[in-house]
Amino acid sequence: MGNDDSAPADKALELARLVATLHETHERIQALAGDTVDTVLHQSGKTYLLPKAQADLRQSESYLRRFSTERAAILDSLPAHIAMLDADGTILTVNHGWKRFAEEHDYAGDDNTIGQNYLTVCQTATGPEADDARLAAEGIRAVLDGTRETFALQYPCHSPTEKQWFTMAVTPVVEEDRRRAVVMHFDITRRVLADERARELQTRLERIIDHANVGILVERDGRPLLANPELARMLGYPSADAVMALDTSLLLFAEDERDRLAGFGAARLAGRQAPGAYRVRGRRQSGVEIMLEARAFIVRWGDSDAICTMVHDITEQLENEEKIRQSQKLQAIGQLTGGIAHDFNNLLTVVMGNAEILEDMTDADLRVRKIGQITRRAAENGAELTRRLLAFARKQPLDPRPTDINLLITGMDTLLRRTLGAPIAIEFVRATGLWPALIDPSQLENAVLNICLNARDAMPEGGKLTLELANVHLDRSYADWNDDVEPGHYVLIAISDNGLGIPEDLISRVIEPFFTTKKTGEGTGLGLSMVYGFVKQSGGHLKLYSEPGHGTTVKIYLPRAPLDGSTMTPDQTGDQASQGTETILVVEDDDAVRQYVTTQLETLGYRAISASNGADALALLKSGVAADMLFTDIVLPGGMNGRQLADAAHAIQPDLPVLFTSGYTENAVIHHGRLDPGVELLNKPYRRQELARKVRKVLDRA
Amino acid sequence: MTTDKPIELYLYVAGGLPNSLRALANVRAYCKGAPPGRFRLTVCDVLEDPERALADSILLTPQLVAIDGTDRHVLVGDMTDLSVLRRVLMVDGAEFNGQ
Repeated sequence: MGNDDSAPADKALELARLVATLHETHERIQALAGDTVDTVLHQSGKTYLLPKAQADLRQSESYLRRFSTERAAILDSLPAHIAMLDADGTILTVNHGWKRFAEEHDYAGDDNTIGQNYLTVCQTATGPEADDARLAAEGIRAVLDGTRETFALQYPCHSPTEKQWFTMAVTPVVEEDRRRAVVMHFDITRRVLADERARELQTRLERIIDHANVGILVERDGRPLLANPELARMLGYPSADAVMALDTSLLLFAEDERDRLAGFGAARLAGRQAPGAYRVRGRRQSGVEIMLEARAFIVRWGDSDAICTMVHDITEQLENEEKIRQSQKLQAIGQLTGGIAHDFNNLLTVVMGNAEILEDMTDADLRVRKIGQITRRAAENGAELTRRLLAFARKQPLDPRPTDINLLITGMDTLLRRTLGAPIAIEFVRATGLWPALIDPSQLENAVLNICLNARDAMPEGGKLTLELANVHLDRSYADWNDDVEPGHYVLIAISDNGLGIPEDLISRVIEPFFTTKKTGEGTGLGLSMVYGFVKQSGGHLKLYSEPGHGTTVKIYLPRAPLDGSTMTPDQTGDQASQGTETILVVEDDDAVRQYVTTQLETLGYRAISASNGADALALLKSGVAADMLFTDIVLPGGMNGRQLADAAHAIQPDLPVLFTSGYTENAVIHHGRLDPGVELLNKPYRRQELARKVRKVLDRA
Repeated sequence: MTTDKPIELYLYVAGGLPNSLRALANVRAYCKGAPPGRFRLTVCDVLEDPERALADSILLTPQLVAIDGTDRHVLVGDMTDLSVLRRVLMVDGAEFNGQ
């Protein structure tokens, strides 16, 4: 056109004419061919785009642009790495996530992964993910080949700083004869970690449940949903599965508890009030009932609520509590009886002493002397009763010595055979190498006799009594399960009969003072309680076993004597009353007793001076009164006891002999149930002969 | 009319132009609906192979030439309404439900 030399105006005219012709031509073609024709062909081979098609093309291009912008936006915003692969695995297009991941992980090396073959990338991968990458390549290949419809693979992808997991999903894109694929990688790290955490929590929880020392049961309407091993153990089932196999968990409880428990469960599930903690009797598989402490609450189980019950076996605990209660009761009774006995002995001392005076009055008529005798005997009975009470209260003065129990029991043979009578056969089972026991031998004889008498009474038709001796060792666990027992070596005396036995509900009560199953007048009810008190005070242990209808065994555990020191048996002392002329300082707070003692000593020929408390007595000594002996009560008012008084008196008059007396003994002269060496004690109440003998003995020794 | 030989269809299109694409899609769908072996379709892009188009005396795109034995039928446009084709080929509607 630039080479045409026509005038510009002519050119313009011609151009206008041609355009008009072109327009008319287009209009005419369209009229002839319809408006859905795109191009016309000239024989030169050139194609001409028709205006309608041009407009359509522009519009469809704009559609396409918008569509691809929107598609890119959607794909880019998806939290996944997405790529479209060609049939041979070449990456055709990727989304933003894919691009970024490739950059961050330096996968494709280049920032542009498009054009690379993804199959090659996967097949040539190295490192810990190589195996998964090869699997991925095979999967993608299969989808592209059409041998698989889709493919999915979950794989880890860990860097030194971060653990990640992905799911790869491959879906085919089928177009005519062309098969391509979309590959998507989703980051499932959070889900995997959550799953892992849930699994760990579950494992942890299962372990805790399996090892808990509380029985755990989850049930709905009685159907067991969970049972732990402890529950099975507690209720005597071989395994938790055996509990799970039950038709109803109510079988785990005592029959008459089931309605109550079912009621609790129904109320709880209905949202009503039900006790959250309660005691219930469980039923072991064997049928034996145990006491359980239960705590129940609702747990969500699957798609509805269930009831979780946690149980503790408190059978043993209740038994131990009962033992402790029993022992506390005995202790309280002991304190009470001890207190009464103390005052009672003061009274009996006066009564007994004065009765003796009456009895000894040679110038009085026979009736008066008879009254004196009756009174003395009654007072003696009272004294015996008090002695037993004190024995039970563990407050009697004991003189424990290393004692050969074999010898002691053998020595009782004749006495027992005579006392128990012919219908009862007695068998001794002696032990060789028996340790000596540290015990008051005469009190032990009393105790054994007492038990044998009980045995006799339990065998009214006759029977067999067995006395068995043995060395035993009570260990820590035995001591832990039995109140007030020290572990160590003991000498055991087991006394068994094959009599009536003691009913289970009474066995814990038989050692209570005044408890007796005998008819009124047949027994005091103090026998066994006295034995118990004596054994306990001696540092031993007493245990009763009984089976109603079969017999009873009483086991007395006596503390083993230390190895040094010679074994002794009770010594016998003479019985003669003694008299004298020495001066005796009597310290006694009870006016009646003081007056009685003074009188008695004077009738024995002594000179008696008296004081009612320690301070007065010391004042007398300091004033220069020449006393040959101090005779003092151990329990004194005014802040100074008999022991302290004796010590103070020795500061003034170092070799002054001392005789103590007491209704019951505090710790002043008895330590751990044993008299201090060199200390002489006269127990209240005492007879005149006892007083005379003891006073003489102390004076003579000085 | 039915013969054992397939009816030859020649579709002339111009690249990816809108009417050409629509015509291609319509004809393919039509063929798919026909009993197998009834038609044989050949697609010819005039932008790629103008000589062939000129040799076949094609002046417009899209254009469909159907050769049924000695009969030669020509259709122009995006082939939205192929009932025309059915009519010119005298293919009975009862025989197949091609669009």
